Amino acid sequence: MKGLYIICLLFCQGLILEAQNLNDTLLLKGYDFKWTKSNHPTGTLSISLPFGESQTLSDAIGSQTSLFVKQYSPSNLATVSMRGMGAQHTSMLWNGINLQSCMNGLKDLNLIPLFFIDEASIETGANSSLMGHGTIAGTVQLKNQLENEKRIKLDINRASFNNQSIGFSISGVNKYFKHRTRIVYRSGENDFEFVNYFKRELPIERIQNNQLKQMGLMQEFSWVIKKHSFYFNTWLMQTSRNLPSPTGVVNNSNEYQEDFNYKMYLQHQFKISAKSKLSQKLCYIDEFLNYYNNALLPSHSRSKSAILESEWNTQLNPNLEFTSNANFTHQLAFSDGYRMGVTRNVFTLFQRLDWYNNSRRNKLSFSVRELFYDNRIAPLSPELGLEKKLSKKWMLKSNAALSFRLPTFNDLYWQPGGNGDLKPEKGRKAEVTALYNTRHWEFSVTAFKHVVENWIMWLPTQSAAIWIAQNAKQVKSNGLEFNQTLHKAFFQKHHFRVITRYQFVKTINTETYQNQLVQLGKQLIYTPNHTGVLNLDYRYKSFNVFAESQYIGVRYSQSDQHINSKLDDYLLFNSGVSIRLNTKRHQGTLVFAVKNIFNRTYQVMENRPMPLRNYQLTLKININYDSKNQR
Amino acid sequence: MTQKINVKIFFFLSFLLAFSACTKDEKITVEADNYKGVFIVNEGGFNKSNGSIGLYKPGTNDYFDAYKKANNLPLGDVVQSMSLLNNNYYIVVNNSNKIEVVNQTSFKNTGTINLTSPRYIFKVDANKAYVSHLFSNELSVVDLNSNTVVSKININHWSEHMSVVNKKVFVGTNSNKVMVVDAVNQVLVDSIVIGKGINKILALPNSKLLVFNTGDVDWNSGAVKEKGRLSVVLADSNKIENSIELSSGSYGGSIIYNSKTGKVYYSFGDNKIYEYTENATPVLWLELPSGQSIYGMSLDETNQQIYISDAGDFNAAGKVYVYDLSKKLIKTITAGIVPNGAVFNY
Repeated sequence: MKGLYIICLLFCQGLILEAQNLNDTLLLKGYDFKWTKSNHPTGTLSISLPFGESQTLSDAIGSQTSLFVKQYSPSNLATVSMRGMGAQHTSMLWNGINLQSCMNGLKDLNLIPLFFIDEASIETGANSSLMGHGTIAGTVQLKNQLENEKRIKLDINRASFNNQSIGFSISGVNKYFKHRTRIVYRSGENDFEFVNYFKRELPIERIQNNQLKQMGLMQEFSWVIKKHSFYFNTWLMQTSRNLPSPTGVVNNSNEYQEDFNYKMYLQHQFKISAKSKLSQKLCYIDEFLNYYNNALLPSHSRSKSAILESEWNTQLNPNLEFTSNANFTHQLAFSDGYRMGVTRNVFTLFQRLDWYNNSRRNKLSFSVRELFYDNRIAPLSPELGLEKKLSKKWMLKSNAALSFRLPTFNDLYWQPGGNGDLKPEKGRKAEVTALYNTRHWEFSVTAFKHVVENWIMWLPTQSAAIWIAQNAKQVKSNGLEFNQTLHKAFFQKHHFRVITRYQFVKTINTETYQNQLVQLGKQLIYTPNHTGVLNLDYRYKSFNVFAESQYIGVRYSQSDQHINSKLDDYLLFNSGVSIRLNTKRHQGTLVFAVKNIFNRTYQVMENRPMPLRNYQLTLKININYDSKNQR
Repeated sequence: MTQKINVKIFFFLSFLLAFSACTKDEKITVEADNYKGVFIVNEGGFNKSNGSIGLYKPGTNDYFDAYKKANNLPLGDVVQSMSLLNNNYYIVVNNSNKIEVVNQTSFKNTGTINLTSPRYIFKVDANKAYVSHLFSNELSVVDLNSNTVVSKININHWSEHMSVVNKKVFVGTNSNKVMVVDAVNQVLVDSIVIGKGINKILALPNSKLLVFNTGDVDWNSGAVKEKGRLSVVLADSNKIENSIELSSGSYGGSIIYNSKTGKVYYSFGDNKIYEYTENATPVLWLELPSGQSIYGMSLDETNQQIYISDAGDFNAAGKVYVYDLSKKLIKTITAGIVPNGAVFNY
């Protein structure tokens, strides 16, 4: 199945190339060759993330990229793994602020409703984050952007397993001031059926204890005063989730988890001159996580972060651009493992030079970051990037970088087992991308290599039979990525879009502790060699049909890749139709989607069943209440 | 033209890539004509439902998942223990909240007893067994004919390992006490203060018991707050006859008693095994190579061999080292995930 699907992916690319020869009128705007933006690492790949009909970030990443999303169930903890690295090696940046927890280094994708996100992209650079640390594999970039609009939006979604969500937003604008208020509510039973293969009769049962309830509010303002522009965002999320047991576990303890997140973000930009600008960010994040279990005492944890960042960007001469960034982050956390609380101050200095040649066919960037934390200096993180236009259609990108990740508070302080002597994980990587670009079609192939030293793991010790965080191993990851996007129109009416993404990655343990020798040379657990998506979209006037397919290769749940721990590969298909009903000023869209259309039984994680065929109906209403400004 | 060449190169590279990554799956070819041999109890990872009972055929390299083979079913989550009672094996699957009952000869499942977080099952008389529990202050009384829970006995603590002597059941708990239950009247009658970390209770000759407790360790510093002890208890009086403080303490450990030689072997979970003979000072008996550690020990009385379980990284197939009493390594078995002991069925 795996080979067949990969061949299909590649066959489609062949068809696409042939389609290029058709001389049809271009209706959808193609890609222009653009240099990597100054605030992203030169020579790396940035893939914008279409949301499709996804409601959550985990769905969008899973269905639109070749990244592997690990999730226990559709509404529970979901993390993303990039290039075979761990979930902690992928930063999640919201308006440039790192949302990874200082306690465990993770960010749950299911805590972020897409209704609150305006733009999302995947970045593969090591220094994708100007601030902080932890970006060894790459970043998921999330952005908010206020538009010049007076608009009311309503998204109503109803789906199988008693899932529903409502999103409402209202935005306004005048000469100097913009604002938007967004509210989201989501709930679901998620009691989908599965076959209980731990019982002789193989009964079909329903997942128990898998309910979700989520509420959120986001308020944004922006205003401009001469050369100064300000943007303010405050975001509250409250999520209550029951935690289902894996198949084979009988748990009457009704485990559930409450997450409360509050974020406040203020940005100021000052245009010093036509060639120089200064921006400042201030952010405060407060997060609670409470865990309940009838058989045990409740567990409470809370973390707070205050971030102050200043960045100056200037054009030194027509060929040279300079960026300087300073970031101060204060982190504070309490949990059952460190009830008295722990704190950390992190100060980061980042400098970057971008050079273009006179013909502007070549771009060379060099950046370096120095980080100080708790009277220590972290390893220096330089990054070198090159981009070269080889021809009108071909471009070559390459990037090499050193990076690191600080141990989390749990790694350092959790009692028992936290280890204050832990060193930061050190990463080094190199990648090269060949990019082919026409008005209709963009194709890229990337080869990459990552090495992570001092990989932090929790391991049992001999002397006290407890688990201790240790710098336990070295991991090497090599791979290839293919990405292509085609926009094409036939007879000016029939619009097609084809997105194909494929990743091959081999991520193996190359050095381990003596009692971990079985892992040597083995692929990391839950790391598929092959992942890919093939998405098709057809539009005729106001009618739209889409089909998505996602392939996840074989994974192993045991570190020795024992055959008993093999998890089958799977190929999922989603499909749907949408109809747009527009007036001159208002728009409405009705979407019907079927997920897992062939009723495939699959597991992302061992003994964690996932839903069979399920349905989703979405109504989107967009009301323009600005009488002067028609659509 | 250039584009067509690009297509060909791309296809060629892509096919190379697609097929180079394909590997053949391993196949297990082991066959079993019966279920005689050594059962290995593999707990599996917590909340992963990958516990198992493996069967090793001594003298061969044969090892396979016995429960799955006999029943074509996976077993469950945290397989804590297995005991032979009335020609049936009772497999205690802690986090699946059940005990699976299988026939001793065919290993076929003959019933399931559903309980809360069971740990051990111990036969009290011909028709009755007690089950100890996490998360419950009661012992469950199981009728071995119907394999149902017929009553419960409150002992005021969560319970662990047990032993029976002279119709009294001595129950280790999560406190520092061994609770004494009258097996005839099924009531709690006494308690004996032993120390923290009560691990195992072994029946000795002459109505005595040996209680091994591993002590207490400070969660914050890892320092030993209370050393482990070996205590000889007189079953008739419920009194401690003798108790010696051991050299260390830990969160866990294991112990076996060789009735043929009267020697006891215990470990604190590291790579060292100590030998103890009643009224003598314990001595270091065997130190495993660095990198190995002892998660459980079982004694093959028939062949006078010790089966030492090593859980490794707790997420890969564990090892079981078979030593004879002259400390010679006889065999290393690759078992299931987190092996904690062996049961001998010759």
